[in-house]
Amino acid sequence: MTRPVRTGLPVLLWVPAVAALALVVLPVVGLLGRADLAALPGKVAGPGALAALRLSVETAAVSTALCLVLGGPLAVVLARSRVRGVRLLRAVVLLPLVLPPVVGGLALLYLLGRNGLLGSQLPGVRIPYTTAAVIIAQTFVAMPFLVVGLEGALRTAGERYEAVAATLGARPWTVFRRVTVPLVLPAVGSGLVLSFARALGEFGATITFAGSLEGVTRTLPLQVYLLAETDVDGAVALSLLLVVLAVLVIAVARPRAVEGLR
Amino acid sequence: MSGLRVEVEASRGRFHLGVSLRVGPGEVVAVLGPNGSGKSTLLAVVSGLLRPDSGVVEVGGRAVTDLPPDRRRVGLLAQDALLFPHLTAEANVAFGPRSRGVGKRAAHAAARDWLAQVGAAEFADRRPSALSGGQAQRVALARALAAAPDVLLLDEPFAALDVDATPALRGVVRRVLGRQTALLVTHDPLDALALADRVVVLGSGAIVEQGPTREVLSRPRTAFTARIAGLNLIPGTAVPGGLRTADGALVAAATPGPVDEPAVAVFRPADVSVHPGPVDGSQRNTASAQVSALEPHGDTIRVRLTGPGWAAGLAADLTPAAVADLALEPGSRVHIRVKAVAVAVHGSAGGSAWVASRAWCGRT
Repeated sequence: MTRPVRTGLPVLLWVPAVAALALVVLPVVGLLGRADLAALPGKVAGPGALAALRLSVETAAVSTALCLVLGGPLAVVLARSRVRGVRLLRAVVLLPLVLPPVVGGLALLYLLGRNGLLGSQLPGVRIPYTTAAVIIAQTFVAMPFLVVGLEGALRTAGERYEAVAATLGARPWTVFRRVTVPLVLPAVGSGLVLSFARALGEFGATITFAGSLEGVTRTLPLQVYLLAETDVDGAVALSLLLVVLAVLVIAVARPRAVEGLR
Repeated sequence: MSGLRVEVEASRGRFHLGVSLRVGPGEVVAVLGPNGSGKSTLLAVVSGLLRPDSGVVEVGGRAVTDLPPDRRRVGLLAQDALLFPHLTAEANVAFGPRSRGVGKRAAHAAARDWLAQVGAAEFADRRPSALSGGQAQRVALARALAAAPDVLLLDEPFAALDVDATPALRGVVRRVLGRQTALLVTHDPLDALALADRVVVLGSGAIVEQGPTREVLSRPRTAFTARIAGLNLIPGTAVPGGLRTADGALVAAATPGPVDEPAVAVFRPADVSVHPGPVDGSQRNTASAQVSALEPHGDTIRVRLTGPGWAAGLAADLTPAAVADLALEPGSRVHIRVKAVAVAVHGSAGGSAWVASRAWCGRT
């Protein structure tokens, strides 16, 4: 068999590379080692756990959809608009990405809470400590993943195809539907996967803005945190459940979406 | 059929373009000029990608100056094919008709027709990534024409192709342009020669010279045009092995053209050798001529010739030493020779081949 010769990978790089891999893999192994495998099914199937799982998957799915419906157009505007100040907007969009989630949750609370800027204008509508609050918190933290990835893909794709489509007589909406969207579809896919994963793992903003009410706002991460105080085996079991969900997401997304991120 | 009228002033940074230009219905006009002469700015203004500072762009008598590209009916074939990568070749060609509201089935039927016309029928189901540069450009040509533009802009359509692929595609473009009103931007005089009825020479944002293609290219009136063109052209009909002139002489060429079609033999003035006495009769491409003028041309001297046969109107570039040796002056009788290796025969615009190809495509 002939094999291509690889050139110039310094051996020294292997050491930190292995350490980095260990940092990612070993904690999961530790979690597996701590788990009481026999008791696992019972813990995962417990009433609190199942409710949390269901709430997590449902809210994460809704937030991901919101990320697409709101964040997709935002990405297009950021990438294509020539309006002044768009550069500043681009920085603002990154805010949830760099802000500690707890701070984000507090900010949401003071916007939409009963005495908040917007919340006080909506008498009779209570947002904090509801499932809606969970969804808003998740969308808040997850949307930048989709917007940033999609905007980058739109810039890379450039406007030349769109210009050609216009010379062929396609109106702006047709160009968007038949050229722009198909060109960035892989980036949309990877953005959705990343947003879903981020929404599923969301903790800080959720607990500050939505609290931890069983069946209403207590998602899996919140349940894990709660159990870690009282029922370690239960916490480990649910953690493993989250690991499985994460692996599933990667498996579904790979290789197209995640690697298409570039 | 619609013509094009462009009378605009446009600025891009410090560059200024001021052009007044007309393309008659069904006419192909080539805009010739070096890089930075304003060719792309002109195209951007006509296609609607750049708004001029002042002036008017008219397509078929409609003022389109303030219309977006999608409402102008101005098509564009650029240097890169820019086929939509997610669509098959056929779907790419069907894009224009579909965007104009033609039904899916009819649009795809038209697309197959156009693909056949550009010799790309076999690629209909391929994705652009599976096409070579020349194949992709054929599909892009079909796509541009299928959208039925009133005016087609061709922006250096062969510049990104392999040298080998260029002549064939040039032939296809010549055949399908037919009665299409078109503006061809190029820096290659051969493109103009093969495709255009008229040439406009652009320099530093202004029109330097314009006129019928063959006239401008063979007898440039400005030094500027001479630099970018200044080719020797002999009109006639392409035959195997060369070109037959109107008075029956054969000009042998190493690169033959489309047989039996109107064509020109092309060679550079530097490829013409000048001799005081008759050249060995067994040599091809020899003729007697008379010197009509001598002009300095860079490091060489351009000798203008007149003569009874195909030598009329040719130019030869000689070193000053050679001119002195031969004691050339206006009126000197000389014999000239052109090596067949240096001669290429190109089909020229204004041929009749398109009539047949147009007839069966049924376009009105």
